[in-house]
Amino acid sequence: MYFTDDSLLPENQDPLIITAAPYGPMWLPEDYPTDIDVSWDAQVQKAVDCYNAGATVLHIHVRDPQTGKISKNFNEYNDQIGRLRNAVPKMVLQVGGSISFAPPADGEMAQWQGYDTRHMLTEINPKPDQITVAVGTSQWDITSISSLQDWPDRMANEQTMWAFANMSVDALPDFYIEHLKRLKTAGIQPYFALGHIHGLEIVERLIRRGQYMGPVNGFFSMGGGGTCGVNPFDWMELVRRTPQGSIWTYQTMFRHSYPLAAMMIALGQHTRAGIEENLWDTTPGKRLTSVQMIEKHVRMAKELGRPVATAEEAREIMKLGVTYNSTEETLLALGLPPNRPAGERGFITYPDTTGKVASAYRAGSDGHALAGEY
Amino acid sequence: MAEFTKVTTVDKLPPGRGASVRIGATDVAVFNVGGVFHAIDGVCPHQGGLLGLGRLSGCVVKCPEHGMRFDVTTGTSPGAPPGGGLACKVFEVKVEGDDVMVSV
Ligand code: FES
Repeated sequence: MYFTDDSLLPENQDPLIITAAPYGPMWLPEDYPTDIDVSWDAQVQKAVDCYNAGATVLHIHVRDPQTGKISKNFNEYNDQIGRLRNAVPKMVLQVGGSISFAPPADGEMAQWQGYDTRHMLTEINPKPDQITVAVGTSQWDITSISSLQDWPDRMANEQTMWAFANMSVDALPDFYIEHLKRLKTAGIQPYFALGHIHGLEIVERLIRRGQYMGPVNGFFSMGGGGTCGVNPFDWMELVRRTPQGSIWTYQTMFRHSYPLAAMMIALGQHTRAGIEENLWDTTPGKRLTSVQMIEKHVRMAKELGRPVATAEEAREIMKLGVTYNSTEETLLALGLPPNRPAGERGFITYPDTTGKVASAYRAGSDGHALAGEY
Repeated sequence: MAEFTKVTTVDKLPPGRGASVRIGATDVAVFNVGGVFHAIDGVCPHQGGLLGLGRLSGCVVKCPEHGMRFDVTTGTSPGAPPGGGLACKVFEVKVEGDDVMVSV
């Protein structure tokens, strides 16, 4: 983003889009019995409550009421998206992309190859508005910025921390190039899930090489060792490097979520709130529900005079339903320089802004007109 | 006595491979480690990835989603300090003729 003198004034900022992440796929109901919803009705009602609290994007994971765990059943995803669409018709429905679906019948063996089961997400019916797409395989040690006190009792032990510390997200070109193609065919907007600046670099290359054309929205998932951490200067660098025409949500883990949200609300960026990544208020040991976290973001925005987006505004800001059909169109819409024309030297800009148009006056070595020439 | 369900056949699951199967309401991950079959809870305790679809190296499977690793012979995280904690349930497996059978 390029900040001009007036960029931080709330009347010039886009309204704040708050993504609700209330389903907590990492937790079991016993980890937070009063805020982890198990029945279909309760999962739907939570979406309504988050919407009423000010969230306009719903990050969805589906919990199987029979087991209390995250569902592996493709049909349950279809049914639940349908229920959510009815209950919160205006909300942007965003499905979390790290899902694999179980074989459909008893004793049937599933030996899907490669990324087949992840690609099945693009076939969900009714369609969600967005599906998150991880780009760039990275280490993801989710214990790195937490202590045992941050975790529910069930997990607060060294063995569990070890297992969590040794994770790495698998997102190779073999996955995301094909997945982006399928999303485009299905008319679902990709929501890029990036861990650090190098993920963003990959997205730009995908665009420059014609492998992705369309609006660029996404989130930075930070705070796992191997991804961007919690150094605010790194957060600032992400804000600085994201293209002018793209829209980003910033998310980290546990109580770091609040200083991050405060910064991003001030900087005109967007936030995510919910128990998926945090169980706490700012005070150690004090629980907060997803709805209360959303309300906190709304209050922070209010203090800074930044309006909270309506669902219609969120759809417009993220250009839902818009698609581009060329590399040039995508780069232009993002405010990125065009690809380098063959043989062109120097930093590339659009032709009518190159500053290379012949000057009416002779210029000195610093580019300024020579004294006496004007 | 444990009730066993046929989940696959020996020829369909060669050494070094795994598969995801469902027995009743239980997802099971079944693996062939050098000719010996093992089965563990098929749902990753992180966020529910299907472990049977993960890559197997020796006796360690890596969840296809975010890479959490489990020793398929013990259900535990390789290299973890002793003392329990996060682990996958291990199921009994037997081979009868060509049939690989699991009891959940
Ligand atoms: S679901 Fe298995 S590592 Fe995340």
